[in-house]
Amino acid sequence: MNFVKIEMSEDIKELLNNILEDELERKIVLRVLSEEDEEKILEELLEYLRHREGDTK
Amino acid sequence: MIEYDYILERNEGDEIRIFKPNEKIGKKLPNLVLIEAPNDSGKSTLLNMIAVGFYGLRNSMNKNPKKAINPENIIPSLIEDMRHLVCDENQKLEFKIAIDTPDGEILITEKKKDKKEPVVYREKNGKRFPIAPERFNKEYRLIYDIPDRPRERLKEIIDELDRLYRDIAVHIGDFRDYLNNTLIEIKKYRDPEQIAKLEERIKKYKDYITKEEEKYKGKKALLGELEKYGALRFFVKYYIKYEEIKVRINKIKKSQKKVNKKKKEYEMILNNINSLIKNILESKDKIIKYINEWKYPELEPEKYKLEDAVSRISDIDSISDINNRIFVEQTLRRIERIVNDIIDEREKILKKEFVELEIIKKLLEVLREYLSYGDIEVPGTSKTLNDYFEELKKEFSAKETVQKEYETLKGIEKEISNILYILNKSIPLIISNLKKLGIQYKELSEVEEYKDSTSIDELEKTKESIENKLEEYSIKCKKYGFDDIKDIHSEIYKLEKEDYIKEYADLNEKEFIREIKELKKSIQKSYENIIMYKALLDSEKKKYEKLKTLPEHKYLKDREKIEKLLTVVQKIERKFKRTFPTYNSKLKSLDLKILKDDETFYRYNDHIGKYLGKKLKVIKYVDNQYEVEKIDLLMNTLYLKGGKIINMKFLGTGHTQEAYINTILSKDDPRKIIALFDEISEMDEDTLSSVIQKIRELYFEGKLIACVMVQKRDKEVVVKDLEKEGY
Repeated sequence: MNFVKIEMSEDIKELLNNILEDELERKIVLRVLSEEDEEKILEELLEYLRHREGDTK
Repeated sequence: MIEYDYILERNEGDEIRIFKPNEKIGKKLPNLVLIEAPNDSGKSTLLNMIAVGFYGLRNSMNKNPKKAINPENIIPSLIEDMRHLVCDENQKLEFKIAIDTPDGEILITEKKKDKKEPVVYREKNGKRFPIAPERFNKEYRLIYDIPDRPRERLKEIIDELDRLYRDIAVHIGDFRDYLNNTLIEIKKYRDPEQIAKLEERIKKYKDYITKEEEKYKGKKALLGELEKYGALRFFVKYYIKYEEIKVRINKIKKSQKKVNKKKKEYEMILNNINSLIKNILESKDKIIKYINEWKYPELEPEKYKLEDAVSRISDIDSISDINNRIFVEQTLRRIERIVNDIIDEREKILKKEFVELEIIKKLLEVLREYLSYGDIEVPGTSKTLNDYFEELKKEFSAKETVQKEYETLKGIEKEISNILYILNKSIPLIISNLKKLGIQYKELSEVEEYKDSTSIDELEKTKESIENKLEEYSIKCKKYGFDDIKDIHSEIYKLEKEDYIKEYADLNEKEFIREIKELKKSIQKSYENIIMYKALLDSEKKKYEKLKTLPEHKYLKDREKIEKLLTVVQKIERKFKRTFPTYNSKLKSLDLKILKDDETFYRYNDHIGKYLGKKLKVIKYVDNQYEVEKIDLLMNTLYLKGGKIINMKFLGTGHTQEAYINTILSKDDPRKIIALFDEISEMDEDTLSSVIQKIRELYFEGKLIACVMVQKRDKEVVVKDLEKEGY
């Protein structure tokens, strides 16, 4: 990819937290920007969803 | 250290002027330097050259935004200056610039006189490695700016966010692709949903096949019954037609025969009549001839009347007219009376002579037999036989004229009788016969005409075609086991009671055949459908069997969650690709028409304001420093900690410049900065020192490798090393 790794300063994190609607959106953006392995990110997000659904049940 | 040298040859028409580095500025500069010098001392040329050297033209957003990667938004006037420096036909520039970086490397850029593009190298341990523009841009951030109109340009800090959003959108897009691919992959594994769909489709196709087969069988049965019905019904139709035409032909033939017979008889009668007319004409001619011979004065006028009367009965039509016949008869009767009168008169006078003539005649006949004895005397006469014979002959001849006249009169009488007989007996008899025949001549003509118009040949041809049809349907009937007309009638009667036949019962043969054709087509269509559905069923069964043997994907159970994630990811992507960049653009342009009622936008403005506030951190206002809480770009207002709210217009230009430069330098970007600032003259000492402080911080943190700032100073040149405390 031809873009520079984004340095996630606290300011940016806060901005993103504010402009994104909910926890899932924030989680997705922050995890995706971490540039970790996509499968690992997916696992984490699925785990998060499972946990969230468990909470709501 | 920044070490540089250059030769700039400028063709001024009358001479080539050579420009070299200003000696007072020197060829070696500290990494953080503030140059103060009068106009035309070469300070801007130096900045332009450094910017060109480190790919400022190649990577500026204004130059080629699509190709540029992480481009800096260099203002157009500086781009123009750079371009003028290297692209002007009347100038030739050669330079070399080397920057010692804090981590022990030397960053070198060189441009030859005859080349337009510079080449950048990294030198370490005496070895040089070229750095292409793309690579350079990934590692280094060139900031080249004139901090003029700082208040408006504060908004340009938002550009930084646009780039951030673009990067996020790219990352999110990649993750969206990953999720999509994962979902596709799940489908390639054992997919219960797909299996259920296939089971449903298999059931559906089986149902289709059953229904279509039922339809097919039903239509086939109907076709069989209809074909049988058609064979029987149209056999009967042609049977009747055949009988009819046969009768008709026979009738015509009989009628023709009868007519021919009548015609023959008529012709015979006609011949008779013609022959009788001829006979009358001959008699008439004789009568006239006799009258002419003896020229009886009483008969002379009558001969013309006779001629005229006879001319009225010249053909069958005229002779059939009784008036014509009566007219002739009256004429003849008149002649007859005259002739009779003459005969009566002659008979009175010549009665004795007639006897004598008879005797002489008889004597002559006897004597003629004995003329060989002519010399013998005839007893009592004293004359020889010959003489006596001659004498008698003479006497006979004299008496014969009288007899001839008498015979002529008798002849007339005879001819008259002949004509009268014809007129009164023969002709009425013939007319009566004609009447018995019951036909007139005109009617005969009509019969002839009738025969011509209804050509027997045509009827025979029609009969032949009916015969063929009859044969065709007869074969069909036999195929169905029917060869007796009574059985056929009975079967038709039975069939026509059936509901499925009723609607076909009123169709003519053409319509019936068309219906049969349509039914056959429909049967063929059903057949094709069955084949098609069977093929589809087979294919789905194969898929089903194959799918059942596949292993399950590890995310199979999470498919719904992944789909949900995909939806959220797409939504986020839209936000970073469109929604937020649109908001940014509106904030910069303050074109808020469309967004007036968009609460999200106003919330966004609030968040951006806080973010920008954090970037600015501190500003100087009047004589104090304030922490910035928020910048409201829409209202052009600064919210300061402690509750102070000030309009940005009230900020001094220098303070705003400071805020602007600090914000640019504080950008969240991991690349190492080369910063070049022209004309920072609006800043006072305090403000400038604040900016320099920021630069020093970045330099010592290793985030900045060089910074050259220039500002105008009258008369003298001052070069300040900003690395040193108290420069």
